[in-house]
Amino acid sequence: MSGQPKQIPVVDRERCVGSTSCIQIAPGVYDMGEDGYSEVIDPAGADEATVQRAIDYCPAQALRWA
Amino acid sequence: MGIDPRTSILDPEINQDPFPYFNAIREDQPLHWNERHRAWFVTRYEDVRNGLRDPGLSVDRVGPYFSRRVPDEQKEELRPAFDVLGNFLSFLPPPRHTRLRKIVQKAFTPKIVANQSELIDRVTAGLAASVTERLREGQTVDLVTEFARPLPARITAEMVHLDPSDIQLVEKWTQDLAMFMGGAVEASDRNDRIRRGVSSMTGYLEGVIRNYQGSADGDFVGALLAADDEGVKLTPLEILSTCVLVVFGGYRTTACSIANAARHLIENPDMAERLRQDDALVDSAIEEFMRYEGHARVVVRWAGQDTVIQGQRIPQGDRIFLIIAAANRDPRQFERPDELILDRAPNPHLGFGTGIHYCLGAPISRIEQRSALRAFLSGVPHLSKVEERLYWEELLTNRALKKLEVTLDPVTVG
Repeated sequence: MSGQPKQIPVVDRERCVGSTSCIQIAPGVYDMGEDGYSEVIDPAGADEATVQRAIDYCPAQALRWA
Repeated sequence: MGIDPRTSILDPEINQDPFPYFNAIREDQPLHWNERHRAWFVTRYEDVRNGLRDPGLSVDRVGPYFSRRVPDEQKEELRPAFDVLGNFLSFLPPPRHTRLRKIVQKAFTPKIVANQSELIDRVTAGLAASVTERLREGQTVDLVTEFARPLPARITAEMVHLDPSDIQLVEKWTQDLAMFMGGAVEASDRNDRIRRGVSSMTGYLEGVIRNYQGSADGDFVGALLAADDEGVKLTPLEILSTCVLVVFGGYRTTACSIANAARHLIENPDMAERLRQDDALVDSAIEEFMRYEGHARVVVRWAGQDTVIQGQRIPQGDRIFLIIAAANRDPRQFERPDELILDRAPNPHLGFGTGIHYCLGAPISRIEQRSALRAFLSGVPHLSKVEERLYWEELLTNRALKKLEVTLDPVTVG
């Protein structure tokens, strides 16, 4: 972490399948957009490990760090 | 220990408790050829997860069934029904799947889901009240038919604008359709029931679609009828198929999950008590029930091309069973997999699948399960099963209770 710019979570909306899995794991970071796909509402809404879990457990592999 | 390749998953003893069998395969022969089902059994978590995501494994169950299992003289009569089934999102590969799912996803927006949420709570409260009253009067209540099924029946009926007086049709239609979807044991009238179920369903739903006057906003059918951002529309058959799929997928699956959860809470009163004390555990408990004994047992795929699993080559055309029930208990992925741990986190179970075919209705199913679980917990605290034995449907793909009869625990009466 030291010296590196902080990573930002992003959602690939082409891949998202609206599972809401990330919203369950990191509700402060992700929310369901009006169109039924996940979106990032607060990149700093949870600690890095929680966001990483959301990324790891996304069933559509639609989440990553930017 | 050798594993008999002639074993049927629907063998009465295995159907009663399939986990020892699945666990043994997963540990001894993670890729196992079963002669009875003529399919490769894939049981380890990583393999099942990868299999669900593998575009090389075909999801089309309709084409092969129609060409091989429907006798030529019946083909013409059965074609319309199989055309409807063949347009289910769950059986389509990209790019058609991609185009369809994009539009159908609009029918599951938060607004539409939220519109259902209020109704869901109202329906569960009503069901719980009537069940509680009857139990207090000393009656026996079947929680499958009187609690677990009516909720998703009502919600799916609402989504596709069934007249409330026709709700019983949901049960009838899906019973017939389960003959195909669930891989029922060879029933002699199987094809006939599939045809009957689908044509009765499509007849009704065609009327609903034709007469739909509402807006696209906040309504499932309206959203299906509307075009996407680029002006692309679903074909009439795609709209119809999607409505049929939602009725089928939205009803029985969620009903199974609710019944399975209720069963575990009756058998483990300490867990029920813990959930009553700590409502925050309800969400993780639902995921854990789905992992431990979810409704999804087997997902059927076939090798669209030569495929390698566990270092072995599977030739194109072979059937593959991705055994969700085995993967969800894989000790390589889950600690103490054969225990129900209500606050298990994270819990990346495969009960809703994974990849592009991940369950479209998962958000609504979760709301229904939550609502049902809370209503159940706030009802009568001490229930007993009338019989120790459980009765399971004879379906390959699903773990579904036929009935769950309960009475008020005699100790607490008065």
